Amino acid sequence: MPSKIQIPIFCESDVLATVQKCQSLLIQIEMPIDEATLALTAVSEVSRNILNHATSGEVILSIVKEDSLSGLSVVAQDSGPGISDIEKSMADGYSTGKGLGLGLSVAKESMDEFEIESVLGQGTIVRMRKWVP
Amino acid sequence: MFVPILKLGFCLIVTAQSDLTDTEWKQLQFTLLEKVASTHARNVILDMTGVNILDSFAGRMINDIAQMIHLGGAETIIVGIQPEVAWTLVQLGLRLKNVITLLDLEEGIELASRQGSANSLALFTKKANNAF
Amino acid sequence: MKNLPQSAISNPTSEEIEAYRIFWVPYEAHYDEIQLDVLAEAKKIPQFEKLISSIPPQMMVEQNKINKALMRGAILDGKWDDFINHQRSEGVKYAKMGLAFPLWFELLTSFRRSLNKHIIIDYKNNSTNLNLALEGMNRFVDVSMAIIGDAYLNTKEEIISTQQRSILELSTPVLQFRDRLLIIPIIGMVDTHRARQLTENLLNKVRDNRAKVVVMDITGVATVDSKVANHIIQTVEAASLMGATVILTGISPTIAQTLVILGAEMRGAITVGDLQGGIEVAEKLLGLKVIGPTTAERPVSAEKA
Repeated sequence: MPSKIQIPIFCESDVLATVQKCQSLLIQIEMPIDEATLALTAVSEVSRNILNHATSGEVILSIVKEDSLSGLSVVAQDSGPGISDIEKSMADGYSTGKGLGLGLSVAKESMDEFEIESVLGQGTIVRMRKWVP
Repeated sequence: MFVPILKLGFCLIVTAQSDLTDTEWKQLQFTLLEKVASTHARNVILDMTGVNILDSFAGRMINDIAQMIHLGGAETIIVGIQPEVAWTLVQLGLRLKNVITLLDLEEGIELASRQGSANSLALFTKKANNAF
Repeated sequence: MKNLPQSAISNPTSEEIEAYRIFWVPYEAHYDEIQLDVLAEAKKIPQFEKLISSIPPQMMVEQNKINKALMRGAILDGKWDDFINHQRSEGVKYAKMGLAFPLWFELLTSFRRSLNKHIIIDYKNNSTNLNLALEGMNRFVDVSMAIIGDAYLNTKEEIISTQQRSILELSTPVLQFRDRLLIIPIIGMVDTHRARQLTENLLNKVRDNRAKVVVMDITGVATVDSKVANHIIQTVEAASLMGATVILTGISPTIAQTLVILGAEMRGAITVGDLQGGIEVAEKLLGLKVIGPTTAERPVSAEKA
């Protein structure tokens, strides 16, 4: 099992594949079930966001180790239209897309570290991490 | 992924054999509701043994499907929810109102046959039990 | 390994190397004598005595040869990594044997005393070299002890954390009481870590044993914080989504307060005063007949007894 996986997102089955690969990584680092389901929710949100807003992009999943901690790192990037108002997009329950995802605010809450960068017309990159408690 | 819908008396049995994509969930919702209406089903058993991962979208879809079936006058029995899936549903705050959850398909069919919707099967299990 | 400034050890300064070399000359010359001195001292300590007598003399000679070669390689040829790895494995070995750390300083003292004697005799006409040799010896002993000590402590920590894990696993047993009935007695402090273990254990056991009813007895738990209470509530809900009914028994007044303040509805859970009552309810749910006195009759039967 490689500790770094790069998945291009073009269609819905890619979103599913991302979540499935993420689960196998989480099992590998022995993430407890409650934290693992939170991380999976976040990963599905950000990969679905790529599909809904940018039509294509990629998600990079990897295992990170720092001191005695191990964790999951997720980088989701696309070259879509970008987010005009990051603060607004992070507000609870905000969603411009098809309205069924729970949005970025959920992803942020589910992870330990969350970072978002977006340039209008160039794309968005989301970096998240979750540590095994 | 094709999701088969089996009819057994007034009971429909749906088996999701693996994780489904968003579109597949939507398709399932559509065909299932159609089928409930056209067959006058009283029970729908949704077997989720094969579903290992549920994200917020799929969670909402399941909840929606159950509520719609309820409005359509039938009862949803969800069976085979895996530990991870159960935990996700709880964390998403989806309480699955108007849904009966049971351990596995066997229990689901037993309940449906007790309620008389899977009559032919009840007959079958009875015969099988007598044989032993 | 990461706590140790290993580069400083494996890359000694030129002054240090100089000191090591000067100290090495008398050490190498009297190596066997010194070993014998240390061995004699070691035999006076019961723990070592046992250890030494368990090693065949031939093997001891071999080990000494290897030690000598490694030290020589490090000091004269700069092969520090081999030496460090060897010392490290020694530390791991001692920790696994359960040798007490302070005992090593006893040995070290006798080693220093023996070596000191030879250094002073050999360099008695050269005070510069005498100083350097003593300095080299002290530095060398410190470095060795730092490596061995570090490996020793790391190993001990590993042993402790493995033990902690197994204690934790033991602390939340899930017992199959009857066909399709599980009992989980929870005793003692429940922190988030243990609550997690509980969730995982319970949900997996429900699936694997096809459990229909789970009796969770928390008589032995005095208090829980809101986070743990929430976790337990979610576990109960998840179990009921899987098709199992959870019966909670023995909720203490404090925990009852915590749960009410949290606004927990305990959806899908039945609460019963004590474990016996809980099992009776469980058996009824499973369609079993309870034979013998039920909870309601208990005071009467107690009087009779």
